[in-house]
Amino acid sequence: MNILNLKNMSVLIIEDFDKMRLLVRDILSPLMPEKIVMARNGKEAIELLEKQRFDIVFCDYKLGGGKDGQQILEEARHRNLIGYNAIFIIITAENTSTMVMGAIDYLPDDYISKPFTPSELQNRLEKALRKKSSLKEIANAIKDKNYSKATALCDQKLQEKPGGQTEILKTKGDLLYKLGRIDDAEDFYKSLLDERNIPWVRQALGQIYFQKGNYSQAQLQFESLIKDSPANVIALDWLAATLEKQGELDRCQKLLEQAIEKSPKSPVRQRKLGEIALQNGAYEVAEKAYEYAIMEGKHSCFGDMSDLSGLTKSMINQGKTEEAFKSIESLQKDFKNNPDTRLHAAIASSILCRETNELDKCSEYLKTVSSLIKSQPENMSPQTALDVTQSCLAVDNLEMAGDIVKQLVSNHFENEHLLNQVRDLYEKAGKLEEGNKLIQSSKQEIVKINNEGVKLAKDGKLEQSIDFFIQAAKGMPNNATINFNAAYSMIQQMKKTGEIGKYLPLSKQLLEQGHKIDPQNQKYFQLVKLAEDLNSQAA
Amino acid sequence: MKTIDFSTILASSVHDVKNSLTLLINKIDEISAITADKKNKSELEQLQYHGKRISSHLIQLLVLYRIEQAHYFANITETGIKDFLNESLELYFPLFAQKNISITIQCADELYWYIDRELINGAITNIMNNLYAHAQSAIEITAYTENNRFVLQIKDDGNGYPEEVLHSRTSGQQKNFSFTSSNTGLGLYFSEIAAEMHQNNGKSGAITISNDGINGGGCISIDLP
Repeated sequence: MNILNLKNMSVLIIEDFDKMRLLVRDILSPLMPEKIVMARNGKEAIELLEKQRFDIVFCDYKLGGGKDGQQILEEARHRNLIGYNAIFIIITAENTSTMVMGAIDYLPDDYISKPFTPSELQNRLEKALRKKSSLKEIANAIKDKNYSKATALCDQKLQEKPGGQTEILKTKGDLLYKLGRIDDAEDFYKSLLDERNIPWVRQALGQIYFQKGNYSQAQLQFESLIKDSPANVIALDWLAATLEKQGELDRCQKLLEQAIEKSPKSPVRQRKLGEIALQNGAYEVAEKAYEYAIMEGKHSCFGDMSDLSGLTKSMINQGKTEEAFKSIESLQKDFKNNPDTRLHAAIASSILCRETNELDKCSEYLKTVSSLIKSQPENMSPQTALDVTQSCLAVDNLEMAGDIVKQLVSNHFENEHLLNQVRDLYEKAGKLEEGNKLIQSSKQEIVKINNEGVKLAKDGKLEQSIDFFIQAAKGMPNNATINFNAAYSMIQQMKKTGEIGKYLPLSKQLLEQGHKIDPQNQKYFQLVKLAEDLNSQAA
Repeated sequence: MKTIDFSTILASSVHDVKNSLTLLINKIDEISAITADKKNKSELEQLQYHGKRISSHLIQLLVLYRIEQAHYFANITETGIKDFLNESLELYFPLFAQKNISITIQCADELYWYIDRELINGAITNIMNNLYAHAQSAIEITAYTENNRFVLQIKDDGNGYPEEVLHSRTSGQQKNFSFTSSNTGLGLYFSEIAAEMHQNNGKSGAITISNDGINGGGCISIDLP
C-alpha cells in the first residue's frame, strides 16, 4: 500500500461506537502519528479541541445524542478551534452528502462512507493531505492576512500547472473579494465560465452580483444552477435571499421550504423560513420552522434563543396562546443551561402577555428583561429590539422603550426601513410625536459625533480623529458607518506616515465588523482595497 | 384501478434487493476477516466479487431509472484521473491477478478532467465485469486528452465484440444493443448514457467500440467534452 506518514501530526477520532473507534485507530496508528486522541461524543470532542491543536480529525456523523459530526465541524471552524491547515473528514453511513449538509460555509475536507477498507481510508487521507500541502504556502499567507501575497502565489501556481487547480481557483476568487477587488473577482469568474460551465463558479459569480446589489443578474445565476441540479441547497438559499431583497416573499418562502425539505438540519435556514413565513402570514409554517430552529440549534453554534419570540408570535397569530405559554415554559426547562434562555423567555413571555392583554404581567416580564440586559449586556438583534419596544409601549413604559430605541438608532441610524418600523410602533401606540422626537434626537446625536470625527480627519488631525472614532465605535459597535469612518481615518494616517504596523490590523478588524453589519455597503470594498494596497506596498 | 408504472415497481424492488445484498456482502466481509484458511478465504473472495458485481449492476439500474425519470442530475467536478482510476479499479487488481490477467494503466499524474464520478465509475465497473469473462491475459487502460476532450480507452486481448454489436453501432442504431446474449448490451447502454450525461457548452460525451484492442480484442473509448 502507499507509504503514508503522519509524523508530527496529531489525530482526533470522534466516534461513539467503541469498535469503530478502535478500527479507525488501528488503521491510522501504523502511519506513526505523534498521537491519536479519541472522543466518544461532541462534548468530549469540543473540550479536546479547545485545549489542543489537531492536524487531522476523523468524525462520525451520527454520534447518538448531542452534537452530530457536522455541528462539531461547524463549531470547530466557526470558533477557530482547528487550524486553517487541519483536515476534517466526516464518516457517514449514507453515501449522500446532502443528507448531512448543514451550513455550506463549513464543508469537511472529505466524506467517507461506511463500510470502508483500511486502504480506502488511507487513500482519502493521503489525498486530503496532498491537497493541503499543495496549498500550504497560500494558506500561510492567508493566515498572516497577507492577501496580496496569497493572490500572487495563486497566480504562480496556476501558471505552473493548469489542471487540477479547483482549490486554487476558488481561493483566488475569495482572495480578490477579500482584497476589495470585487470587479476583478467578477471578471475572473466570467473568464472561467467562458471555458466551462462549472457550478461553483456560477455560484460564486451569483454571490458577487448579490453583493453588488445586482439582484436580477444574481437571480439568473442561481436559477440556472437550480435548473441543472434541483437539490442544490446552496443555490436555493441564495435564490431565496435574492428574492427577499426584491420583495418577492412568497417565492422566497417556497424556495426555503424546498431547501429545508432537502436539508432540514440547519437552524439558520429554519430561522430564515420562520422569519419570512411570519411576514407572509403563513403562521403554521413559521411555527414549525421556529420550532425546528430551536431544536436543531440546541447543539449547534448557530442556535439562537431569540427564536422563542418568533415561535411565540407564530402561535399567537393562530390563536394558540395557551399552547404558547406551555411551549415557553417547557423550552425554558429544556434549555436551562443556555445563558440566553432567561432573557429570551422573558421577552417571548412579554410578547405573549401583551397580545393577551395581561399588561401587568407583561410589565413584570419587561422588568426582568431590563435587569437582564443590564447585567449581561448582549447584542440585541434589531428584531428583538423592535419586539421589546412594542411591549414597552403597550405597558406605557416610555423610558425603557426610549433606551432600547436609542441603542437601536445609534447602531442603525442610516437604515431608513428600520427607523420607519420604529416610527410605526410609536404611531400604533398613539405616540407618533414622541417617537419622531426620539428618533430625531438619537439620530442627530450620532450624526453629530460622526461629523465631528470626519471633520477632525479633514482638518488633518488624524490621530485625534482616530481616537475619537475608536471611542465612538466602542459605544456603537454595530454602527457600520462609524466603523468604516474609523478605518478610513486610520488608512489616511498610514498613508501619511507610511507606517502601517500600528493601524493595519485594527483598521481591517473595523472594516470586517462594518461588513458584517451591513454586508452590502460598497464602502467596505473601497476601503479594504486601500488598506490592502498599503499593505502590499509595505511588503 | 390505478396502476403504478411497471418500471417504478421494478426500481423499488431493485432498491430493496440491493439493501439485502449489502447486508449479505457485509456479512461475507465479516466472515472473511476471521477466516484463516487460505482456500476458504479465496472462495469467500469469489463470493464477495459476485456479490459486488450484482450490487454494482443494481446500482446502475437505479441510476438508469433515475436518468429516465429525469431525477438524475450529473454532478460534474474536476477530478484527478489517476487517483480516480486507481480507486475505481482497486477491487479488480487482486481479482484479475488470480486469473493471471494483467491490468496496466497509462495516465499522467497531472491529468485532471471534469467528470461525474458515479457515472464514469459505473461505466468502468461494467466494462471490467465484462472483461472478467472475456479478457485472456491483458487489459490496457489509457487516459489522455486530445483536442480539448478527454478520452478513456480500455483495450483487451479477448475475442472482440461480436459482429452484430459492432454493426448495430455503425449502422446508427444507437442504444439498440443486444440484451439477450450476455450483459454486454446493458453495459454498453449504461456507458453510452453515462457519457451523454457529460455536457459542456453544447458539446456532449460519447462512446465508441471497435475490435482494435490487443490482437484484435475489444476496445472501448469513452470520450468526454
